[in-house]
Amino acid sequence: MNKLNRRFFLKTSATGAAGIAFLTSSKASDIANASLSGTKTQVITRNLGNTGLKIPVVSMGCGRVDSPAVVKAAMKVGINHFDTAYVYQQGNSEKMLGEALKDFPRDSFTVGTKIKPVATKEEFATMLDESLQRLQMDYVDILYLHAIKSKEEALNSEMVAALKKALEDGKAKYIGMSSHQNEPEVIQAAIDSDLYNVVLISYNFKQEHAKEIEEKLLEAKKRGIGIVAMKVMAGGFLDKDKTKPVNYKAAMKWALREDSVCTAIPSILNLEHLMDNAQVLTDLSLSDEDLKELELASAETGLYCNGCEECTTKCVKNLPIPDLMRAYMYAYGYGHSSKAKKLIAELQLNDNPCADCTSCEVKCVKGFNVSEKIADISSVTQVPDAFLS
Amino acid sequence: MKKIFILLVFYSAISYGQIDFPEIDNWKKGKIETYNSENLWECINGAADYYLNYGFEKLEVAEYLRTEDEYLKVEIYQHKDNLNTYGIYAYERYPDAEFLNIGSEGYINHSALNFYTGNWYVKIHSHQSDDQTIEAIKLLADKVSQLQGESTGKPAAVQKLPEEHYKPYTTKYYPSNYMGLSFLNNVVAADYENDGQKYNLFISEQESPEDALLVIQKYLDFSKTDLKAEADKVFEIDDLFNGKVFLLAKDNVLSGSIGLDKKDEASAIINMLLE
Repeated sequence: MNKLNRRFFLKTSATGAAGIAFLTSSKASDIANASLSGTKTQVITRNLGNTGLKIPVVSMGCGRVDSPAVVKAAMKVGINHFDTAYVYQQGNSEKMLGEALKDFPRDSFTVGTKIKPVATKEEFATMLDESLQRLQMDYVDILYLHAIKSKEEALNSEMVAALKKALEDGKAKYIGMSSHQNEPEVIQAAIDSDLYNVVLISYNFKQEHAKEIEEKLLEAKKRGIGIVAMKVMAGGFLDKDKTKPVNYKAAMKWALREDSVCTAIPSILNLEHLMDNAQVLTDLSLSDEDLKELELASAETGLYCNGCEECTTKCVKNLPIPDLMRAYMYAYGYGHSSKAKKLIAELQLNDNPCADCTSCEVKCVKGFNVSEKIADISSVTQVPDAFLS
Repeated sequence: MKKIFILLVFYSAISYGQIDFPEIDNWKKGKIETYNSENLWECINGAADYYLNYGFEKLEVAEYLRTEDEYLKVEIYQHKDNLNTYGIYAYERYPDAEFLNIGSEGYINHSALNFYTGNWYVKIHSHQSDDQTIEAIKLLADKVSQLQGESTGKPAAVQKLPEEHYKPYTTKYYPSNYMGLSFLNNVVAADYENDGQKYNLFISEQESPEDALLVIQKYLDFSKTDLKAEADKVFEIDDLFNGKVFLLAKDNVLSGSIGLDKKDEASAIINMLLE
């Protein structure tokens, strides 16, 4: 593992070729590092590939937020791109977003939603209609094919047809796909396709293959593919007991240090989160201290799984280990155990799948004790939803 | 996680009696289905999260058939207390519906009748809206309401909000994240309007006087107001997102206003809320 990666010492102008939008707030405040200072403040925006969309460097991930007040407040500080999904909060994320945004002019914000691949284009179309109904919108700005892991999935003919139909019908302005693993392959698939405008990828300072991703990001930029970054906090904490938080502002700035990444979509749950994240809207500079802190954090095992899949061939049961590690991160890093449970249910794994193995050949490149983590996170499936965060 | 398992054992130990759904003429009562917090989503999909947020414990559903195609459904959601029951009822309430004298509060909207009484949130609905069906829905509502005995009325916290200038049917209960603020929980709030001025009043019961002061302190810190929280003192907060907020703590209860401009007026009202 390259613990002293020189990436941490690379400082850039941060804004790169970014555009600048002006925000005027009604009240003087030093909150959010002067982004709301009562005078014109600079919200850094970037082009989303060749789409023509100009998006603030910080967007709002709506996977967990349940209060329209937070979305309205985000609009006020200059965050006007919102990321949701058909499955988030069983549809309530889209409903909440629709409720919060219904009184804003449609061209004052952009929304991306995601739908997982399904068997037929008709089924996909029905789900898209449902999403639009929940959002109270005629179209989404970006329609993502959700959780894509390979070129094969990205170019599945039935889903490609469904996405093209959504474009033709005016229900989506642009098409994208999201990926939690195999990001370089998925980005390449977008570059090679004549369909995808945007790719939403996991990208953070703890990824072992970040350099490989970066090469693809540069290529994507040249080809006009817009990149949106998620999981930029690398799990939020470096340990299960949450004693070692990731310096999230530095982590987000690290992901945004080159303008090949247009925006990050941190999950924002409340106004306190919003104000913290808003500080990055106007200032992407990384200090030496920030870089040092990230460097040290990168040396920790942490909670973030690369999704490199080197472990999966070693597992005699061929378990989807990266997905299980992601579930572990949701529970212990994000404190979102219901999301962990849902993910494990999707994998159709209820009890500890490692229970009847006497030995384990799996070796994680990051040093995770995989079987221990699987045994731990599997127990979440036995806990009633009412008791889960 | 250990805490979760203790809760799981406790949860598993809870036993429930089954509701004796009433009979009504011309409608045949079908089988009763029961749901708990684990499988509620099977019955109401994504809405389950909202119910769980309001302390949902159990749902019993009975179907009544008049002919093969004509049915009505009675759903009785049981929540952990009457404040949470009120909370989910008010969350789904249609302020423009026709309100009825049923349970603690109830209304009918087309062929759907909802009411709450005690810790029951009752929803009766049908896909038909002919007079006979509506009559049957109302009759069932009355009979179900009687199963809970005399109405216990509105939760105490709801009753504390003043009636003057109140906009009817706007009182809501927020278990958490009121106004998007993570530290402002367990809030009952309502809308008011006086001479064109719209404002909001709220009260929040905390565990202890210290907790109540902590909420105020967090709000002062959040709004970068360099003051120290004190009991029995009205604080004026310029909330960037929610406007002018006045806040007061007495013992373990907070009261506040949003949208009132004058401190004297706001102080009088929020003091009255805590009397």
